[in-house]
Amino acid sequence: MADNELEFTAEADPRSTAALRGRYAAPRDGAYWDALQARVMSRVGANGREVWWQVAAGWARPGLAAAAAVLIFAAAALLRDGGNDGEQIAFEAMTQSEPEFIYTEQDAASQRDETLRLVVSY
Amino acid sequence: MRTSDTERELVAAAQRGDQDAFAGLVAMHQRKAYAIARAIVYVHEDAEDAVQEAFLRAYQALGRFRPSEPFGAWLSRIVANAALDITRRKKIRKADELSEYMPDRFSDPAESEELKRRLSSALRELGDRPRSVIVLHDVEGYTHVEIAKMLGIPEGTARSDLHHARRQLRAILVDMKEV
Repeated sequence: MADNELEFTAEADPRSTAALRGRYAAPRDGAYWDALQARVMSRVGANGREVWWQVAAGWARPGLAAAAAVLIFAAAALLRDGGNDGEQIAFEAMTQSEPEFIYTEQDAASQRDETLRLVVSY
Repeated sequence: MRTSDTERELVAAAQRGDQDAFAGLVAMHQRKAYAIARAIVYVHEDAEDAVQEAFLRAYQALGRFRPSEPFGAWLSRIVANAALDITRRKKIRKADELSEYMPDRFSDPAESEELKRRLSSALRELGDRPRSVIVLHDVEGYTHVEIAKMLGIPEGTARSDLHHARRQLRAILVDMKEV
C-alpha cells in the first residue's frame, strides 16, 4: 500500500524536509564515529561481563528449584517402592510359609478306617 | 564477501563472546542507530546515550538473538526502545525542561536563525511521536511498517501521525515567507 493512501494524503513539503534534514543530519566526521564506537565498547567491556554472572544467577534459582523437585520426586518414589516391598513381603510370608498342619486325603482315609475298627470291635 | 555474510560471521563470533566482533557490528550499525535515536529524542546528546545504551542491551541480549533474523532490524527495535525510555525519563523528570530553544550542532550553517527557531517551535508542538514518525519517514526513509515496528504503534497510527505532522510543518514554514 502506498504511503499516501487512505485519507492521509499530505505530501512531503520539500522545504520542511530540507529543514528537517539540516536539523537531524548525523555528524560527518569519521573521528566522531570512532570515538562513539570506543565509548560503546568501553561500556560493553565494563558491563558486558555482568552478563555471564547474570545468566548464571538467572539459572541458579530455576536450577535449585529443579533439583529440589527431583529430590522430592525421588524421595516419593522411594517411599512408594518401600511400601510396595512391605506389602510384597507380607504377601509372600502368607503364601510361602510352611503350614503347621496339612489336612490330606490320606489322613481322611485313615481316620475313616480307625472309626470303622472301633465300631466293629463292639 | 557480502555485507550480510560478514555481519552473520560477526554476530556468530560475538555470540561466542568475541568483543572485537561486536565492535565490528557497532561500527557497521552505529550511524543507523544514531539516526533512529536522533529521530526519537530531542537532542543530540540523548541520541548518543540511547545508542550506547542500545548497543549494551544488544550485547547482553545476544544469546537470545536468532541468526536467521536480520541483525539490523533487531538492533533498530532495541535502539528505538532505548530512545523511547530516555524520552519517558525526561518527561517524568521535568516536563518543560525541553521547552527552551535547543541549538543544533550539526545543522546546515546556511539555515537561517529564523527557520531554526520556527522549526524548533514546530517540532515541539508536534509532540514526540509524530515528530519521530516524520523524521524517520521523510529524513531517514523508513516505511510505515518499519516505523510502526520500531515505535511499537499500529501502522495506521504511523500513517496518520505523518499526515498531521507534514501539514503542521508545512503551515508553519509557509507562514515564514511573510516574515
